[in-house]
Amino acid sequence: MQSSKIELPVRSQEWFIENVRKYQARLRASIRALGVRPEAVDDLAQDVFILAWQKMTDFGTGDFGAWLVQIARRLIANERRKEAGRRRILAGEFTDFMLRSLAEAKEPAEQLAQAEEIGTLQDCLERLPPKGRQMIQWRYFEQLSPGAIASRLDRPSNYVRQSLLRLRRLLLQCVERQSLRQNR
Amino acid sequence: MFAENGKSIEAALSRFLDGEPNPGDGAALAAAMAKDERLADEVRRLLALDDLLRQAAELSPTAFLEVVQTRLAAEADADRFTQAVLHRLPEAAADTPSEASPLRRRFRWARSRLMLASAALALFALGAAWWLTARRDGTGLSPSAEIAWLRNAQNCRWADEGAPAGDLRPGKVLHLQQGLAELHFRSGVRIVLQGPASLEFLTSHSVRLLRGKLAASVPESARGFEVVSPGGKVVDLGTEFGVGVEEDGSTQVYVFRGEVEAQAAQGEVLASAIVKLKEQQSARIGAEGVHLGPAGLGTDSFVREIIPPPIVTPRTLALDFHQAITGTLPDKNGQGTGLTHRLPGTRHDLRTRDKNLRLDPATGCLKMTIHDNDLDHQRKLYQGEYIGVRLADLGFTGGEDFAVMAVIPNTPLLGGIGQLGLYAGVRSDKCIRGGLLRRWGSKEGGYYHQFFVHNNGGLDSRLHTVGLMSGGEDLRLTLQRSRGKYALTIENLTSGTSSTLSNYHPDFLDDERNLYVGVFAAVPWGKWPGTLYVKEFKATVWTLAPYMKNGGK
Repeated sequence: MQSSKIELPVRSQEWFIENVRKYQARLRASIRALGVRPEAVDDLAQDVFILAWQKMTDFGTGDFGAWLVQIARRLIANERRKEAGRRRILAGEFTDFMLRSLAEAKEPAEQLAQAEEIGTLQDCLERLPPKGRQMIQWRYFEQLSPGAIASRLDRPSNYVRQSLLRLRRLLLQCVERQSLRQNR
Repeated sequence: MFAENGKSIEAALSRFLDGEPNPGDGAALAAAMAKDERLADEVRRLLALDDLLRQAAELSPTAFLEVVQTRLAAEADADRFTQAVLHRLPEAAADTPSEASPLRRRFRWARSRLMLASAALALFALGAAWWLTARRDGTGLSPSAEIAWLRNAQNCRWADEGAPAGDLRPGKVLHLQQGLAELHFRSGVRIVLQGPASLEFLTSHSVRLLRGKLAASVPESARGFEVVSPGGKVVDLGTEFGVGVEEDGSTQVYVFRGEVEAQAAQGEVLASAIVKLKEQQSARIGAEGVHLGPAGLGTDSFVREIIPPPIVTPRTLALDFHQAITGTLPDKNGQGTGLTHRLPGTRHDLRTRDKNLRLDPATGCLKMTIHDNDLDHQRKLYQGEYIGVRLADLGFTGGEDFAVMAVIPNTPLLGGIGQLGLYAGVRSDKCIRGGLLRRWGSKEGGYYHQFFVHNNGGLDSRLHTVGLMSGGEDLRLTLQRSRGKYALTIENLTSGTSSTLSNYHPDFLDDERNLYVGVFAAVPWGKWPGTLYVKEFKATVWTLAPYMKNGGK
């Protein structure tokens, strides 16, 4: 008895895994930009890869990363309509807006993910003032909440959140400036 | 428009980026972005950057890929796909940091300190080792700054060099041999330490419990507070929890409220997966890892708050009868005896001179002439002498302990079924009394029994008698209610002996707020009046100060 599933050649499986490796960072960042909870991003990204694998025959040629992001948008839009899916989204109105507007907007993670590949984010992190770099270290590398960081600094949580926002802006400006320079 | 709401949008954006939006933040941001395309673009890029930073911080750069491969293997034709995945895995696994993406490779600045701990450890363990060894300098505070204060102590005994002396700084170790100590941290954390216990201060947000028990209460602002133990560590996630360290270093953790993360350690290295504990859950942290225990087990063994012992203040009326006291029960000559009340139901006149009483200030004595009357059957109480005080005047409100004492010199051998002693009650038909009782017609007619009797409704009941005692001796009688229980003690000052009588608990007096106590004597059915001398009289109520929280502030 022959399986109804389309049998992909071994080469295609290897190709897919290679592309998971290549595009996973960009996909995860794009999912986060749609307002998905930080802790649910990886879970959704995995779902997207499984769906993509199941629908590989739908992908012809072109930007595989962009195709993955399209799948992610459809998946999140579907989940937005389900009660269970809302748990993975921070705020429905926010995600609705992002889903609507992202059709016209340039995919935010594309350029940034490239920045990872060329190491500009690292350069920019090293340019942060020591205190700012320490705060980023606490927030992302030690995964401390703003409240916990505030406790370490004996400052209010709001101060930490505002500082983190300022630091992210500094990093963003730096990364984009560097990327622009290198693309010239 | 955006400029007007700029601050609130900024605050909403900062909360959103940290994954902790308030209700309404998402809608407010969506509305602001709809009006400002540049803001929308920036928010998208900031969120993407946030996730890229998160990815860069992952300890294993291949972790995500491996999970996807596993799920794909389950989805696809298992055998064929697994073969393909396994074929790829060695390459993926070889993707060590040196071969990882440039960002991860160059993120070593953030992990370089980890390498100090041990180059041989896996990345996961390295992260933990750094946490355990390098965190003391992470307070952001001056090393000389105190990070905690002793706020409350109860029955504390400290070991030498282990006592708090205004020096609760990182590195200080407290050795509490016994008692309870409440410590307040600069961060707002409150700890109750139960002796015997040893506690080392690491930072304002972390301590090391070497042995003993502590209960920690962590406010939201100090979320992330950590208790390190020889068995591992416990990280607060906004909660109240207890940690106990046994002699062998094994650690018990109990969550009273909120949740915590627990992780086991081997030596200086955290070596197990993080286990989340929720409210009422317990776990044992040891060399073999973190094991959840039965809900609520052992929570009773933790002291979560130091409750100061009640402050008891005795209020006493003491009379030695060496002077007349104006405004009190007058004797036959109008001198105030010092006593203020009679047991209600007995002769009611408080202001009229009492011909049966005579105060003798020279000898310090109150003489009482006794007539035929009896509380049993409430006979002739109009001429009964049941004099004393109202406890409410000494602060009694119903629940306090109290005592009444009288010294009776040269006890008379009263006629009839003569009796003398002390009483406590609401009125003549709702009281208890005890002292000496002469049994009429008995073989021991010339002697007294010690007695204690109830009267609830006018008739004596539950009469309890012991021993024999002759007249002519000096006695000190004390009727006391202690922790709600009544006892009558008779001390023979002549022989130096004493005995205490108890009886069934007179529960009919339990909730009474208007109690009277005093001294009495009666000669029921006696043909001749008798005379009783009273040398000293004292009534005491142990009043409770209201419980004061917050150390009395």
